[in-house]
Amino acid sequence: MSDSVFFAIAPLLVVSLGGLLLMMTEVFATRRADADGPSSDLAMGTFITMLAGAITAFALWLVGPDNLAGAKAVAPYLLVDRFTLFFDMVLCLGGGIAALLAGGYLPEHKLDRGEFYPLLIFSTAGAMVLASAGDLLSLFIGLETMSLGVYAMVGFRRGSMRSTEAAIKYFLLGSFAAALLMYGGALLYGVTGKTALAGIGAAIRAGVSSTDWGILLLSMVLILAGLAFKVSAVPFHMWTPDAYEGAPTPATSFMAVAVKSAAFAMMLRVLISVFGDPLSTSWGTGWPPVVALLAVLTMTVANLVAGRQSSVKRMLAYSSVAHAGYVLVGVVALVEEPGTAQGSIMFYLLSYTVSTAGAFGALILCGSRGKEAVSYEDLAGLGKRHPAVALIFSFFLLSLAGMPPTAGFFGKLYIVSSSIGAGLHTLAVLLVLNSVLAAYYYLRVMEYMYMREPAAGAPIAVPMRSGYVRAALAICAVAVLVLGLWPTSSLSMAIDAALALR
Amino acid sequence: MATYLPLFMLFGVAALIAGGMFVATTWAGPKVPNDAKAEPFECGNPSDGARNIRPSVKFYLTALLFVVFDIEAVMIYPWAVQFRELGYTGFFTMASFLALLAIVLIYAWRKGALEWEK
Amino acid sequence: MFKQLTNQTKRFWSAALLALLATFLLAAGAFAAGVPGAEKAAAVAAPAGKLHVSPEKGAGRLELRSVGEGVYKGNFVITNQGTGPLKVVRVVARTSAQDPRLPKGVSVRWAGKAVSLAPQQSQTVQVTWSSAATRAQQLFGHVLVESDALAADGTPGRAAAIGIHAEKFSGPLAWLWSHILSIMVFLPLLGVVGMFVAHLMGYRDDKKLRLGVLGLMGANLALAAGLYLKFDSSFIKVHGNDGYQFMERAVWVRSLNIEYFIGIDGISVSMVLLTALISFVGVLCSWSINKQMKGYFAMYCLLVTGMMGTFVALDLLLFFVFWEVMLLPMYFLIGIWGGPRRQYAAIKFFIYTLSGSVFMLLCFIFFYLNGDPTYLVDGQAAAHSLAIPELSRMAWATKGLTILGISAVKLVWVWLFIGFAIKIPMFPFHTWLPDAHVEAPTAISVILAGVLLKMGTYGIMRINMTILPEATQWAAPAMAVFGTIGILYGAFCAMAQKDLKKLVAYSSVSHMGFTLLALGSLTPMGIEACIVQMFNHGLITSMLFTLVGVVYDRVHTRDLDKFGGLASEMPLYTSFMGFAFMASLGLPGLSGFWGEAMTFIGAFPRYRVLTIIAATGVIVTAAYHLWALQRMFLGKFREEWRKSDYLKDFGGKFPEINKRELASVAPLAVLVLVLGFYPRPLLNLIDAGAAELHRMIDKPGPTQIAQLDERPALPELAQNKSADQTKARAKQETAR
Repeated sequence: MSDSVFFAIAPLLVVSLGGLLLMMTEVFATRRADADGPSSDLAMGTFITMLAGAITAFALWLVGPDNLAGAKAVAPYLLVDRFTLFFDMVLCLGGGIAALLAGGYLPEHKLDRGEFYPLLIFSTAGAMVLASAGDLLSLFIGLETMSLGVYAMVGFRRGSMRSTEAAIKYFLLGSFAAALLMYGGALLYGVTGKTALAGIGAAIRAGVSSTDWGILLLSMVLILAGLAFKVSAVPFHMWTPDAYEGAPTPATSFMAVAVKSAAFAMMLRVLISVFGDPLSTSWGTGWPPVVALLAVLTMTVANLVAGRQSSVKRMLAYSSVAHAGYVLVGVVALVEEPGTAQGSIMFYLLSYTVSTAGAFGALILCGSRGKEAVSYEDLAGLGKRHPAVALIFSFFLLSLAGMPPTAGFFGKLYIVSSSIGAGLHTLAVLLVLNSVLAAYYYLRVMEYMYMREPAAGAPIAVPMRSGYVRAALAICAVAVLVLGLWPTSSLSMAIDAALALR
Repeated sequence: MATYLPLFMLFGVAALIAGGMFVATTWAGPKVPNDAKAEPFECGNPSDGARNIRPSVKFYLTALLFVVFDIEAVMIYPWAVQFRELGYTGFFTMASFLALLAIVLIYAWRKGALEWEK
Repeated sequence: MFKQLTNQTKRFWSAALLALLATFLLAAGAFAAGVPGAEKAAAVAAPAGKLHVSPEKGAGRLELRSVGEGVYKGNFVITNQGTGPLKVVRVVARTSAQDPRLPKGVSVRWAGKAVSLAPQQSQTVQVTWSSAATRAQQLFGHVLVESDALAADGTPGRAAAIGIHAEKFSGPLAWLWSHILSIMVFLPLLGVVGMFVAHLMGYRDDKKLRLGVLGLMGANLALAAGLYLKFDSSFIKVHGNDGYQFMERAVWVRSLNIEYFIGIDGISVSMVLLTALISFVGVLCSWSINKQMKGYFAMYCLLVTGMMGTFVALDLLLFFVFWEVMLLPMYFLIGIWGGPRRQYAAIKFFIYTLSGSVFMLLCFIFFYLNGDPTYLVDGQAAAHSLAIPELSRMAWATKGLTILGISAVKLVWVWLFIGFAIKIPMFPFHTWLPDAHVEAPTAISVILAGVLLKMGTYGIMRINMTILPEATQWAAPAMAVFGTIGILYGAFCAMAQKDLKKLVAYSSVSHMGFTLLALGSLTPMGIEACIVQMFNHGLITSMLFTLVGVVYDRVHTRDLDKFGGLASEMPLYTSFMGFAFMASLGLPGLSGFWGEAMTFIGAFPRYRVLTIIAATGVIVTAAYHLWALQRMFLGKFREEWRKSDYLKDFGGKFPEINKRELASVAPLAVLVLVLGFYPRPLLNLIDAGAAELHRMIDKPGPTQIAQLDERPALPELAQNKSADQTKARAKQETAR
């Protein structure tokens, strides 16, 4: 065991140590009664931690994970490759933005308790473990570390029935999904006698008896179901709208962005390393038809339901489900075009991260204590009352809808391109038709903001003022625009990060 | 499949016995209902008072902290047994583990989780 | 100790983390420096030559410099960056009649035989362009370097290329001429920025802002006039640069081979001019917009950028981006500043166009994925390309591609066509148009009818016909049939309208039907007729919508039955309206006549029956125009108007058309009149482009689908034969 182990897992260490430091700072800081709440210190600290994590990951990217001697020492529990590093950056970005949003949101809504930030940090650390896990054990540890923090964040608004309900729902279903995953993993271990993903994959590739194949299929189904819960794919999405709506919006943003990205990282890693053999990836006997079905259901159902919502937050929740469906199309394309498909998925997740975090941030900015913007009617006339907020909200929605020149456009373009390249014409057609459906409800928000007046006497959502939220929105907006105009470098990074499908 | 056959048979027999007993008692047993029998518990003290008494959250906190240190003990025993073989690596690993726990304890203490009366 | 932290938590925090971070970064850097990475890998590989081509100075594309008398020179360096010897077989500039990428006169000074380069040895090659040999004002192309180097996977590597570029424009305006299209596209964005800044600074002088936008559009119009003067109307493919002028080309998204590639030819130049003109007129028409005026003009300027960009983009993805950029401001312009049912109309417009455009995007991706390898503008090898000229060189029909069992070429053609047909709008997809027109404010109707509808037809010409000529042959009759249906359906619907604006909207459906019929004929005359009809319809309909706006401004109604006898109230207005109606119904001597007449002449040889049916549409057209004229202006004036609230300020009289309104109509009217009597300036502009497009579609040969279907099993034969034919055609060309 050499020192270089610490280099290899530096991003993870930076984030976790930062979290510990933050905890200590919080409990030892004594503030005067009239001072601001803990958010005033912790939000920026959390953001810096995440930023440091992202920068360290980028530094390792420049060094090249192959040159890290320590990477071998932590394998297979933690795999340090470009895939991991890319997701580390995305997750830290998502977590950092959520921290900034919380810095504005929590004090405004009188939820200002310092626990939120350590929870956020350790959740992110868990997500990073998940993205780099190369063994069923570390995968499960990462998954639970991530999830536990998020359960607590969802229920952070203790006084609210909604929030508590959301937390309980999410906790129950999340544990259920974890149990399914665990059971699938146990079956895998039973068949192959290994816990390392690569080892299991090698054993499967070496050939298994027909009895064991049945059990393998069972475990594949269980694992896919567990993963589908985590990425909230239809029909395993029931918890999503409730949990997203009940949670404090920064936590929602974190769930929609980081948790989903980490879950997709896990999905890619498992499908590629474990179920990457010719039999499992064939359309007759393997997972592609299942994932394709999930993708179609997810896109279509989520988009249809999202159009019927009266709450914008719930609409955004369904929209995030729909986006999971688009990514699943990319996952199906993995079989034929592993490199491009993974590149497209990762770029999509990056662009989705900045757009979605931005959209939730804008929604936060639209409301204030007691007057949170929830429904479409709350947003009526916002374009006149608060043009800046409306403008930036529209911008993120356009990115989610995939209009050029925003990040979302290239994300979608690339997913469609990889799916057509993989010969999945039907899926590609369904994807673009769905994006037309989606455009309808994103535009509806703009319609309310710009083309309608609030009903007479209706309570009007008053935008809050917060430097943190504005900073977060500025970061997201710049990222969306840069990714939409000059996507080259991030695209080629995403392609470099692809795992090899052996 | 043949390997698992006995297992399935075991499951089947177990389900049969358990289910059979339920069915048999409901079907065959004589039923003489009265007030005492309608109580939730047929023996012990008669229940009274509200059903939804909540124990104070303090108990949960203490219990959780207990679990933390319980696990610590579970981890430390095997390490202590293997202390020499594990050498410095083991020593520093355990030291960092204990440091983490210490931080947790300090956090809990500063947050007031250890104060029984507030 | 902790107490000290208390007041400085934040600072302590940041410092601690930054220190941590710095440590990591430093360590990582030190680590990276000491890593024996690349050298080790290279040492293992077998010695081999590696070809590298770069300009003598700098990197990327080779810029040729003028050395006087129209001669341009530049040097590039071929370097062997490998470990073994490298044999450079030959260095060529691609210039031939078959491959009209390079203008004539490009030569490369190269020994003419193979040269061997030792590792790290390099050789300089001089490229010369004697521009006197060609009409081209610009040079965009490649020099290929062929060698025995192997590609990464061990196969013989493709030739390396270096992009060469020169601009012949000289004088003080040289920079302007070589970037004129970019300027015209992005100048309106200044308006967006300006409005934004004005909003932030709380600037309230609406009049000055309006004048500013007018000035911006005026500047664009002036640039367009300059473009018209400078445009070389007889410049075609054989002169090089694929027949495009005022090109600009640079790599935009390298990882997807997307280029910023713009340029115009005979097909698009008229549309660029039309866009500049109509967007100028549009500002005049929107003078009375007071509600959120800055937002309105910001959107308006963005719209102009989108439209202009669509007409000049030569990279499919760039085209798509501009196409979508145009969509959004239109949605807001209709949805915020429109009539009572504006939200419905706006979203209908948006969803219709978006559904079309997503299929377009699928087709673009299809082209991208199945195209042949080529080079980006700076010489980087690209496995796929989105550049329209590159794609149009590829033999799509002989690739035998299928999608879901259907011939891919046909399917892609149809998808693309639907995307564009929605925009035109063609008969079954037209229902968004009347809604959008009725609800849109006057200026937006003008833009919509004057420019936006043309984007559909333009797209068909630029993409469907250019890239998929064989499929166009296959589908041409369908185009003609739908065109004819459109002509009649639009005309009859217009006849039934009471709302004057809706009438004009349906007349647009009818008139755009002519463009489809003309295109469907595939004759040179037909294609030219299509462009002429697009241009003239743009002028005339803009005039009509402006005039409809005039009366709507006065009394807030457009119901034909409520008017009557307006001729005595507003004689000048009536005469303009009559003039516009006459132009619209195709009266000889006004420009509307030419489009229709040429359509019939072009289409008649191929579709006799259809043409005759379409010609009856002209009668209906005349009927509804004249009837509308009669209902509105002739007859007895309705006295109840005297008591109308709207006319109270004017003493119960309809106020005559004012100077500003006149200014927006008059230039269009003058153009309609001039082009009606003397259409040569317009035709000159289009002639060569239309002929060129016709040559592309009508190339006879085995690549046509009809013949391919008969012999699907013998693709080799087909290819050989096509090679023979191209040779034969090359001979013809040289003979010519």
